[in-house]
Amino acid sequence: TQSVTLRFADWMPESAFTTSYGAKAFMEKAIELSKGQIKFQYFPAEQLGKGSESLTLLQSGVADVANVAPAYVSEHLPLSGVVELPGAVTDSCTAANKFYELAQPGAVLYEAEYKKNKVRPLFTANLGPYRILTNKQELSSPVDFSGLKLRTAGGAMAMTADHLGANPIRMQGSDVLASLSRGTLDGVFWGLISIEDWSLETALDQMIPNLSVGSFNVTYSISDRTWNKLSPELQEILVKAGQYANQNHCDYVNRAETQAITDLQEKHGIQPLNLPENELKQVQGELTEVHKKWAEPLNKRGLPADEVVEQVF
Amino acid sequence: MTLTTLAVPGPLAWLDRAVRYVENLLVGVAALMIVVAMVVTCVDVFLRYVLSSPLSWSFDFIVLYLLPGSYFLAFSYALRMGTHLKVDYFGERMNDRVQGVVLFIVGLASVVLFAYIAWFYLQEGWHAWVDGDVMGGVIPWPMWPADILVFLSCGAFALRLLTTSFHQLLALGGSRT
Amino acid sequence: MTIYLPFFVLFALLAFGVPVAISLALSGALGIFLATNADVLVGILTASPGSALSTYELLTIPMFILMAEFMGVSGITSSLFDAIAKWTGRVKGGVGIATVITGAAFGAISGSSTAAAATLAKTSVPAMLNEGYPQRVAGSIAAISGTIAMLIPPSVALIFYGLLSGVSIADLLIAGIVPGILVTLTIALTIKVLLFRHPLPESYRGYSFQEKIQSLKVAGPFILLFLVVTGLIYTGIATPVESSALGAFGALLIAGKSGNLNGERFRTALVNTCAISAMIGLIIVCAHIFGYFITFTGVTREMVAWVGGLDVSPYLILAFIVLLYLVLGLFLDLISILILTVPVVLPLVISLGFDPLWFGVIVILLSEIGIVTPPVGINVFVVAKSANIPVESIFSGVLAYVLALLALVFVLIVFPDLVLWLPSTAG
Ligand code: NA
Ligand code: NA
Repeated sequence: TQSVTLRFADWMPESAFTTSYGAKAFMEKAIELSKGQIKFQYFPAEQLGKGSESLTLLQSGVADVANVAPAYVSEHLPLSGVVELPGAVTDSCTAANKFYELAQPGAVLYEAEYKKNKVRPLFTANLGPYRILTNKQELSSPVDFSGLKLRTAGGAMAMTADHLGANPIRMQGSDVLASLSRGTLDGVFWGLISIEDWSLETALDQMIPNLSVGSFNVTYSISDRTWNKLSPELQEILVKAGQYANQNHCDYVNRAETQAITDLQEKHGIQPLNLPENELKQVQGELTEVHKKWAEPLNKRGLPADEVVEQVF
Repeated sequence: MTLTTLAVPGPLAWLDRAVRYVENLLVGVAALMIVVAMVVTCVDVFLRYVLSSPLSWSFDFIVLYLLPGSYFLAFSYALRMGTHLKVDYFGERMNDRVQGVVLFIVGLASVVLFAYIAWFYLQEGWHAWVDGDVMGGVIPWPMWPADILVFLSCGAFALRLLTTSFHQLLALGGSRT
Repeated sequence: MTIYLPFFVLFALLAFGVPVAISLALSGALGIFLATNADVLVGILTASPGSALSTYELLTIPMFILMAEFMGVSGITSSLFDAIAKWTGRVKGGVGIATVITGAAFGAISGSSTAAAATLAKTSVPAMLNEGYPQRVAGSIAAISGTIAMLIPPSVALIFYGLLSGVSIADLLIAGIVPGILVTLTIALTIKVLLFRHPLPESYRGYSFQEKIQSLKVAGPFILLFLVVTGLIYTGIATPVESSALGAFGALLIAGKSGNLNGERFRTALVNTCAISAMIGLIIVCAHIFGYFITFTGVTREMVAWVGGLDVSPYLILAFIVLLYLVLGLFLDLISILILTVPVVLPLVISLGFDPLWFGVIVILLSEIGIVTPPVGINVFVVAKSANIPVESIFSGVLAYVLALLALVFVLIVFPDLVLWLPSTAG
């Protein structure tokens, strides 16, 4: 029987919940299923490189498995940025499972971009829907976003902010808290479950819990060069461990999101402003324009962006 | 002994002049990028505080182009000027010939290293250009200039390493041509 | 063996006078090859230049260098000493004290100790010699006073430590202020003690009130820049990147107003900035390569585990680390020391329960001591060269200050709040 040690590059820190419920769950499962035939040399916290290097690390053989965040390599995996579109993610499991399916051989995302980059996604970790949160009482109903300075992670989320009439700002995560406190930012696009990780709860006053303005996805991918060296049994085990981690992570995110809405309101006094149904429909309708704006340049490059949007929505 | 007092064979002198021209050009671009980075950041602060509408594109623009430009483009110029940090203490107490031979061999190894990196980024830049790779977002910044910056910086650096290595070798043999 | 050979090659290349960056790249490449294979090596070599720089905050370094260059053009840095000396004219050891204070003030606009030492050598050493200070005393005061610049913000060393450690750069810059002032006081106090034990024939010279007010002219631009750089960061109004760009722009305005700025000087300031940035950029890229070797050896993890298994006081291990930095400081410059040690030593220090912010200040203070110790003491060489004083006599004169600063390190270890208090109050 074959025994193998896989070098695993992760840009996330060991303390991140995605590491516990995704990366570590995956490794433990793979070791268990293979009865120790598969081992890992795990390098968390950018030890082998930043998120933007993940594909290069896999392609060059520096790593066998890596946490690949499409948002950080948008030039190589532009279609995978579909999860950043407004409304693409409302439930983490639905999104993670859909994405997993589309990124497997034969499906559109794999064939259009993972195959070309010589990597194969083993599982997806979706960080849940991103919401708009603001400081002071910036939001009113009907909602007016015009002129608000909102920090986004760039990409399609910046286009969404732009489309809402807000001013999309990019800055480092570490600068956000200070900028919110001194009012140079009015708000953020952020996952509710990671607000407390960045201590932003102290500087925020309002949130819209029922409008999804994007999301953040990572895939844990294996390089083709490593994959092809593995026996079919070990490949099978990695697929199974990946599916397990996929579910394990999204279950956690869904639980945490419900808890986070309660905590943010009750412990930190962040007022939820749920959009009334008709208004929500109207905003969501307007935001489909962003889908078109996002897809258009990709279609022009011969990429099946329309098909990806259709599959996801 | 300074380089100018050495009788330098024709091709080396020619290469030296050519590299000099390129690195002066690159340093000019680097200087421009540093000024642009200063101005863009100041304007951004002004717009944020005074007009309350900061630039949304400056972050990507700076990280993608201006940072590598400011840090890399003068690699070669800095080598010519002797700005790169080194430890002189032991070398000064060493046999000149031994040191000279070692520096020549190490110099050639570095030429190979940086020439390979330059060649790699030229290919990357070419692919990025052909595929039309862009950074996703409100402004789809093209990716190829970032690769070409590394190509130019490391390419010029490799050539300058080549000339300094041969100058070092020539210095060993005194002024013989 | 595979672990030691690359380290041996690294030190051999450094000893032969190969540039630090290239030594790191070549020995790191060898180490990666030995630890993995040629494919991985090629992958890392090609990825490094593209990825080593992807941190927005790196923009602070060229901006702060540019700021110091523009201030140099304005001529204010060279008149600083004269202005300060007018206020200390009646103090015993006044010129010496003025030199230390100039070192601290210079530190507020420059992030480089060596630049500070060079300026002091040109302005204050002649003044001290005129007062009858022996060469040994004058040279050593200038060399040691240069070291303050790396603690008082802006500081290339503190920014670099922040990038290597992940500690907030804003916090680090603020944390440098109190230790910077303590170093200033320690040096001034040492001068006083030395003068008490070996009195010098000093001519006390008082200056008129008008002369003193006149000297304040240089204070305006200084306070302005200090407020822009440190004030904005402290209050949280601007990020370090923003304040560095504003600082450079402010210095450009000051240079313009001084009447000394012309096209040629503007160009020179920029080209100097490019060359120093390239020197740092090349080290960053090559250290990135060497860093992979360190990661693959797993030496950091093993060391943390090994030390964790020892049943000794954390302070004993800290004492060993202090000694390590002093030894490295004998030969290496500050940036090289930071790059070689922080990735390996910091996890260990954190596992022992020490604060990484505090440790950054301690490391920089220790490495600063290294730049005035023989055999390689860059500040001493710079002062010796520009003031034409024998290197040995400055090295011998500096010893007393080194001992005093070691005592200060001890105090900072016993009372870490001296470092941590100010950043904890920042906005
Ligand atoms: Na300073
Ligand atoms: Na030394």
